[in-house]
Formats: sequence, C-alpha cells, structure tokens
Amino acid sequence: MKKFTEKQLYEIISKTLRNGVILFIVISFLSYLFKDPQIHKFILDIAIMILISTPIMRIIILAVGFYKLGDKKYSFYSFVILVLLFLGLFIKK
Amino acid sequence: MLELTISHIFLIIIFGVFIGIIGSSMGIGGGAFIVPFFVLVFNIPIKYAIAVSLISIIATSSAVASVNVEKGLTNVRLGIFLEMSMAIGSIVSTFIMMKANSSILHLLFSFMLLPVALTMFLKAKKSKKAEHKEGITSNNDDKNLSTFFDPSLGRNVSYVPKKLKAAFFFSFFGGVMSGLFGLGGGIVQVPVMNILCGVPIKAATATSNFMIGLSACASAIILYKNNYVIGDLASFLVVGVVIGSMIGMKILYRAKGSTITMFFSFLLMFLSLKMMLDIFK
Repeated sequence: MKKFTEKQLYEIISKTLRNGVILFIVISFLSYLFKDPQIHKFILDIAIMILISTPIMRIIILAVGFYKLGDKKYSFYSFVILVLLFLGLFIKK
Repeated sequence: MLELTISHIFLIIIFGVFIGIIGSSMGIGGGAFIVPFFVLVFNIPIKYAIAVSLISIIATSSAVASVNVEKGLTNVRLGIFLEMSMAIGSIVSTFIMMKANSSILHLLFSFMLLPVALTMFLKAKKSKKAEHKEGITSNNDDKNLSTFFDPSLGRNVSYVPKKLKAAFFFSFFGGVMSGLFGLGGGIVQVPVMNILCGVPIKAATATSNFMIGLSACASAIILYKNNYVIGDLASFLVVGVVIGSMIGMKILYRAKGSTITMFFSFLLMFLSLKMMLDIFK
C-alpha cells in the first residue's frame, strides 16, 4: 500500500475548500428558483451551513491527516481547534 | 429587512469582486470595507453587516487557500498553531460584540494599527534589497524549515518561523478583530507573521488567508445560531468575492513582495485614521 504523504493531505484540503465554496454558490442559486419565501430561506440556510462547515471540515481532515502522517502534535492542535469551535455552539445572545 | 432589486444585486456582486481582489492579494478578508459598505449604503445594522462580512471572509479564505495550499505558499503547520489562539479570540470577542459597546477596543485598535503600518512601510522601502534577502538561501536541516517557489524572484525561498510564542499571543487579537469588527484578522496576522516571525510576505499573506477562514467560522457559527446572518446579501457578495479572489491570487503570485507590503501599510494607515474618526464622530 502506498504511504500517505503530506502532499496528498494538502490536495484533499484544497479540494474540500474549493468544493465547499462551489456547493455554497450552486445551492444558494438554486434557492432563488423557489418563489415560496420559506423554501427559499430553508435552501439558503443549507448553503450557508455548508459554507460555515467548510473550515470545520478542513480542520477535521487535518486532525486525521496529521495523525496518519505520524505528526501527533499538529493532529492534537487541530483537535483543540475543533473543541473550541464546538464550544462556540453554546454561546447565546 | 431589505428588498433586494436587480441594481442592488449588481452593486453587491461588483463590490464583492473588488473585495475579493483586495482580500486575496493582501491576506485580509476585506471586512474593513464590507461592514461600512452595508452599513452606509444599505442601512444594515452593524452587527448584521459584521455577520455578512464573516460569511464572505470564509468564502474568500476557502477559495484562495484551496490554491495556495496546493502551491505550497501556505504554511499549514504555522497556520494551525496560531489558529488556536485566534479561535479563542474570535469566540470571546463575538460574545462581547453581541453584548456590549465596543468603542474602547475600537479606539485601542486604531492606535495599535499606526506603529504596525509605519514598520511595514519602512520595511517595504528597503525594496529590492530586502526582497532578495528575504528567506534563507542556504541549506538548512531545521525541521520547521518551509520552502516555496517565488516566481517574481525566480527561485525557492526558505524560512524558519521565529518567535512563535509571541505570535501565538498576538494571534489572539487577530481573532478579536474578527469577532468584534468582522475584519477576519489578517490585518493583525500578516504583520505578526512577517515582522515578528520573519515569514516572507507572500507566505505570510497566504497563511493569513488560510487562517482567517477559521477565525471567521468561529464567529459565524455563533452569529448564525443567533440569527444575525442575512443569507441573501451573503450569497450575492460571495459570488463577487470568489471571482475577485481568483484575480487577486494571480496578483499575489506574480507581484513583488515589497509592492504588497507598501500597499498594505497604506491600507493600515487609512483604516487606523478611519477608525479614529469614527469614534470622535
């Protein structure tokens, strides 16, 4: 089996980031095909959630990727960031 | 809150292109322009404008980083390390932004920008001489050594980031700028990495672009959950921003580092004065 390389990890990161933005644009445009404001808002919300999730996805991939590369220090750093983002979910007005 | 007409949509997309060019070529999110634009032109309350700005920053950062990470311009390890304190700054400051008046921090920030702008201006004045000295040309077996190819110099540039503890501390304030003003934080991160850590300006710009998406995300999660995000404004702005980012990246990759530094120092001076004037209005 071929060894997983840092170059491959960065390629996955690039694709994730690119696809996140493309998906956001495509889905947000799709939302304008619906005249019902509730359906429009629902689809647009999905697009926004996908865009917000994009940096989260890249952190998850980096945490796993660095672990696979044997770089536990940066895998741990990525995990710490994930925990911080998760804590943000509990902050209210 | 706002009825969007065709002309509004057109204006937002064109503005997004402009922001994308500035943001991606200089490693900042463009929030310094986006927030005033929506507040002054569309009469959107500032907290909602900040939320739209942060959504746009996630898009700019993701689009630009997708190219720079592959090219090797982004220092991913340095980015992750600094993102930890940046994320804390973003989360804490978003909480403060939703609760309190931010005029004191606003004033502190505007004063803090001036010495940074002056230092960057003096650095850029060294121009070509400094450009060729940037980075390490000899072989170095340091495990933190990073290398990227700079087409404007026609050679590989290697460097070892220094003073990481201090950079970690200052990155917290990059996060604060994100949550409090919707700025992304590149305005702090680029000078911190370039001046403090000795990272060449292009790598600092690319790494900052990579990081600001995360800090904006940390704030955007909170603002989205608390219903501050206006999806329609964000979607049209992002279209323009992504187009502009692609143009801006070409400028970053080919331009001389000193040109970017000089432009960035003028932008910092302008922002500093603008923020001071805002307070004394």
